Amino acid sequence: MTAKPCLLEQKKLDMNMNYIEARVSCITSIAWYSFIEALRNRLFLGVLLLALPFTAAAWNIDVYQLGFQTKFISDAGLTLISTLGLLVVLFFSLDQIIPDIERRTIYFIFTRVPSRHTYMLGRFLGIVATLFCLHVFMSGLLMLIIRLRADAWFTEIPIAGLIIFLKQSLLVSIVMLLASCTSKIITVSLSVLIYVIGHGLDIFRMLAEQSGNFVFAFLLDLAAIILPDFSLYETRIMIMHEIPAQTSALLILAFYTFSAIIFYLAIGGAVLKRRDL
Amino acid sequence: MIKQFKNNSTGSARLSFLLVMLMLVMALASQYTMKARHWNHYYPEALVTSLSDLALQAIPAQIKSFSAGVFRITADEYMHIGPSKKTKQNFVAGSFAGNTEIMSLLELSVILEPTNMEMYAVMSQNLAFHLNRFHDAIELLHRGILANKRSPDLHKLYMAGAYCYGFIKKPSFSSHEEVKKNRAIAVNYLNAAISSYLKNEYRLTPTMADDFANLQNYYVLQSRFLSDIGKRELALEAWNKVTAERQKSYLGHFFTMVQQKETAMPEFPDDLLTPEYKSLFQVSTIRMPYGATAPYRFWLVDSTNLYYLTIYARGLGALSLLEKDCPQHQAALEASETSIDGINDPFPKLSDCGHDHSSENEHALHQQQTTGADQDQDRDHTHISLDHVCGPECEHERHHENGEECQHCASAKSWKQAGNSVMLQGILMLTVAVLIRKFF
Repeated sequence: MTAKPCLLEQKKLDMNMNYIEARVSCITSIAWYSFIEALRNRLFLGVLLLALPFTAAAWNIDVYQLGFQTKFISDAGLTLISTLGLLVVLFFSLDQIIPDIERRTIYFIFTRVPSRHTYMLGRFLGIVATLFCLHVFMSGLLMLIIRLRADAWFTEIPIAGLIIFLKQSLLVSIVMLLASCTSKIITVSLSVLIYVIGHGLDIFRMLAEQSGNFVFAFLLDLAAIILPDFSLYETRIMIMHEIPAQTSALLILAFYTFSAIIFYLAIGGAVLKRRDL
Repeated sequence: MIKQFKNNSTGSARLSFLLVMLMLVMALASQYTMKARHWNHYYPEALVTSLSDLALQAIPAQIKSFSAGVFRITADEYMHIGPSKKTKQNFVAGSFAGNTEIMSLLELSVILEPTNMEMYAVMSQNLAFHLNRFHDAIELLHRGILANKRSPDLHKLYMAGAYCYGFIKKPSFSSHEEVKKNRAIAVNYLNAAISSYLKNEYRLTPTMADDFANLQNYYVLQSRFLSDIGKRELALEAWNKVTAERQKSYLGHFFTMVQQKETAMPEFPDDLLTPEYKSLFQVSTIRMPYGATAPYRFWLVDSTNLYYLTIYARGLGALSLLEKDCPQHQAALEASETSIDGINDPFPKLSDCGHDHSSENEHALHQQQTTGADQDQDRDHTHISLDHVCGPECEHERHHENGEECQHCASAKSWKQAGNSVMLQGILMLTVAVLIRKFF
């Protein structure tokens, strides 16, 4: 009498495990091929090559032969990393869902994928892997250049690279959400708009509070719940003052990023699920 | 029929759009071709000597000006931050002097906006007096003069040249012959500055007024340099153009001696000032022009550093400058009861370090923070003894966690406060995501 339910439970557990394994396998496959696709893309190479003229410019503008300027190089380097990362986010995130829908390849993928959420998560992880490689390479290079020229390890740079990576991962999830329900041009426009608003939201809130416009401040507070707050990912003070970031603050930031990504991807998945393809 | 009409109208719309685009491209191309060929009519003041200069002219002026402004602001920020802690850099926070980090940015700013006069002065003084690049400084000024030939502010650049030549060698440290040679050149620059000023006087607006680069100062410097190079008659002539109020000075004393034909005349007026140099220091009355920055900007860093960051956010420069290089501050800390350097209340409101020393038994940080702020805020701050060394663990540091309630600390919101709201938002988003996944 007791053996049968146990067997059933075991079978149910096995089925669940198989289901999870299949789902993870699907996500990994989609992520891997998205990553490979992004690496093979000539655009990625072009984005990386963009770094060369900028690096050369850093030497060229040293008109008065004053030598290596640590702060200037690290500041400019991180700006460059951030800009290139942003290009990768915008170009490659757009190349994930919309072309699949336009070329009808999404039907083939859906025949092998348990749900549209899985598809979205896989595509997201592919871009995040590409971004991660870019940031590791660029931050490492910047730190190495500064180590060779200034004879000091600037450990704040990889931390700043990590923070920028988290910020851009969040942006990828927003682009994926928008790409699941709108056209390319609208996706790009709205992504840029959200990116800009996300950076200035706390300033707008502060200004609204200072001016005593409580209705506007309340509306902005409401918007701040839904929209990402990119000003949290501020690395400039840390880099410029050479102050190490706190581990606890970084953990909170990672948690916030993770939650926000899951939130936007869940909405994106739900939208894609209901969309008539 | 309707379909055909639609097709025709779409086709004609496309055609007209393409036509408009083509015309626009042609207009732009012809405009820039004209500008390139006849640049001296379009850009009479622009230095177009190479292809890159010409390419630069093709960029809209607003974009160039905006970028130049960004570079200038960044340079200003670098100036306030000061040197790197990990590398040896020979300059201090809060001063442009010797700052090497800013030079590339300012150079870019000048390339993009050659009409910004202030940058030439800052750069040339930095290059000449602190970075041992005198000739580069003069070259830069010449570049500025050529690019601003018709500007009413041109006299400022001549003045900067006179300043560089006039003070690169000082009687106390260099041979008198060298000083005289340089000051003779400085006189030429001053003459040019004065004639440029007088020529463009009618074009000068009140907003162009400068505390340093003005006609009275030019006459003062001209008379001094002329006297230095031995042309004392001409010096007296220039001195007579100085207002009576300005004549009450050591230089005035020197010229009185010249007029009276004193026998024991020093060779340079500087020699009269030697005892004064030792006690002379400038009083800064600069107050920050901006309010508190967004609180989240600082949330990633340890609260230990908030003490320093608050000072930075208040635009008061490095802590080392405030505490170590401020003689009043030091004296006040060492002996609170006695008056500073024997002077009774020398600067009642603001001292040279930018904060109020009038109530010396307040905490050092709170003193400079409360200057100019609402006095009611002081009630919230703990008053402690002078020999106390401040640290993040102190009781009175906790008021920083009041965040927005405390005006002094609004810019230094701790990570705990920011972290709480971030965590809450994160949890909310995660919950909504799970609900969406479950029900949609």
